[in-house]
Amino acid sequence: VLGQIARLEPRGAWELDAAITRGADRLKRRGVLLVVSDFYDATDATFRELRRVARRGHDVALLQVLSAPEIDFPYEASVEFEDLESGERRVIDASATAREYRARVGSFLTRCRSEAHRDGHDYALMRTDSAPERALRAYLIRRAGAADPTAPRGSP
Amino acid sequence: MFQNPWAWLGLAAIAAPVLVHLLARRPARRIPFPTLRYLPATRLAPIRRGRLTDAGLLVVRCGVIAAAVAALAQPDWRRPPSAPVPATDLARAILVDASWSMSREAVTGGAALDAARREAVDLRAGATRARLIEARALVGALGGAAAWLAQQPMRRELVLVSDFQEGTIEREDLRAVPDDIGIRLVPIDGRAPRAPEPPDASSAPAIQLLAGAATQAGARAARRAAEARGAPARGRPDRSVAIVFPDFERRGELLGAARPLDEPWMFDIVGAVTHGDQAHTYLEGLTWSAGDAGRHELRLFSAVPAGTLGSAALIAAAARAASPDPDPAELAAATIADATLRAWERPASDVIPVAARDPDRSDGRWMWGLALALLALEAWLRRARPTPAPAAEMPHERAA
Repeated sequence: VLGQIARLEPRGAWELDAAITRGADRLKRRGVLLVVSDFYDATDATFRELRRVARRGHDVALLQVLSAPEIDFPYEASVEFEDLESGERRVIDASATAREYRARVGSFLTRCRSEAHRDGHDYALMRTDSAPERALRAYLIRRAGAADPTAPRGSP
Repeated sequence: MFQNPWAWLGLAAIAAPVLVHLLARRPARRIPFPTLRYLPATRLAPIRRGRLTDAGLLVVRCGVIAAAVAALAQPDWRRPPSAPVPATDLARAILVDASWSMSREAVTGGAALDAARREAVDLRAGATRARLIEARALVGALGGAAAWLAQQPMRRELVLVSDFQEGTIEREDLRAVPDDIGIRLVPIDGRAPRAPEPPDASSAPAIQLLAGAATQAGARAARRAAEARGAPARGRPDRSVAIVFPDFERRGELLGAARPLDEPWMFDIVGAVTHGDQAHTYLEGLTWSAGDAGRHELRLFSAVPAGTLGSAALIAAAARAASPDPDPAELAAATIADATLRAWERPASDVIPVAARDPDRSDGRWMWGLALALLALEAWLRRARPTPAPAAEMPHERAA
């Protein structure tokens, strides 16, 4: 699975809800649906679709992947940011806006984690500055621990 | 300690690099980013620097300005403002009297002017710096000589070499020379002046008047009026001067043949006429042409008709300038007594004011060197400064 993921080339846009539906439809028996995304495009419909998949008996796990700068926002002074998908550009004073940005992103991550836990999904935040196999291993260990009724479930 | 202390006001210019540093806009770095949705849209960048960065570079730039200002202030750290200067250094302005009376025979033989020139050469050889000036009127040349001496960064001495006829110079004239400039008066003894030779009947009149037939009588009347005002009647045979009046029949022809002045005596006469009283205002033009037997003739083209008061003034001025006869004052035999001359003399001061220091020898050049060194350092710092880079590389794709 990791090898296939590594060979993927990011391009274009996608519809998260449709991708979840398409992935779930491929599961003929009860299985595990791993959704690897930054979830920037996630909407209420996305979580609704994930709940529908879970009700069909599948285990759903959300692996939210973000780069370290997206989370830590280490920029200073004037920076012109260019949106990777839309190409939109915006010049801001990174020093002045860093705190507000981190608060907004933190709120976004908290919402994603809360939604996942509320619906009984596994959730893990994976930073790109960590090796993916290590992050995945940590997730699987947590998932195995979650099988133990005494262990907490779905903690990142 | 500074020859130009007002230059320190230029230190205010240090504010310039600080303001430029604070106000200058620098280009924003462009960074690909997964999404702009969490970047506050309302916080558009104030892309001026809000605080000092690159403090080292700023300090060096301020240092460049400070060093340049210090250089302009012309510091002089080697000597205190009124320190004695070496007794061996002496600047000397030598004024040689070149008036008519100096053409008399000197006691030592030869013309008095030649004896004065020999004396001046000896005086020049004894000075560290010297300027030799020949003047027909010593008083008129005093100011220029004193001004030159005032700029000399050493002991200064003004030397007058003259026969010192009565009236050549007065004590009041010498009081105008700054006190720290020494005065030395070197008399040249001459024999008694010769009386002017009687008019040579064969010599040409001082001025030839070229007027039309209708104004010939007026021209003669103007000449008589000029002579009545003291204009000499005779001129020098080797210097032909003519005044051409407007109605002279060949005036146009002479104007067409006009050529520039080229004989020194012509310039002397023209200078005397144009710097005299109002005579020059009656002149329309100056020219000359070759006369008979290759003799050069100076022609003054009058703008006023013959017989007018203006024509008389012009004739008088030109005749005085062209006459070989000296000013009657130059014939006076009395000279200023040696004791008087000694009383007017004074030694050169051993102390010179700061203003007389040689700017080329101030320590400002070291400050210029420092400013250049700081400029080189500033250029090196600017090039060595790392190009601003993002604190972390942004992956060029989104996770999904």
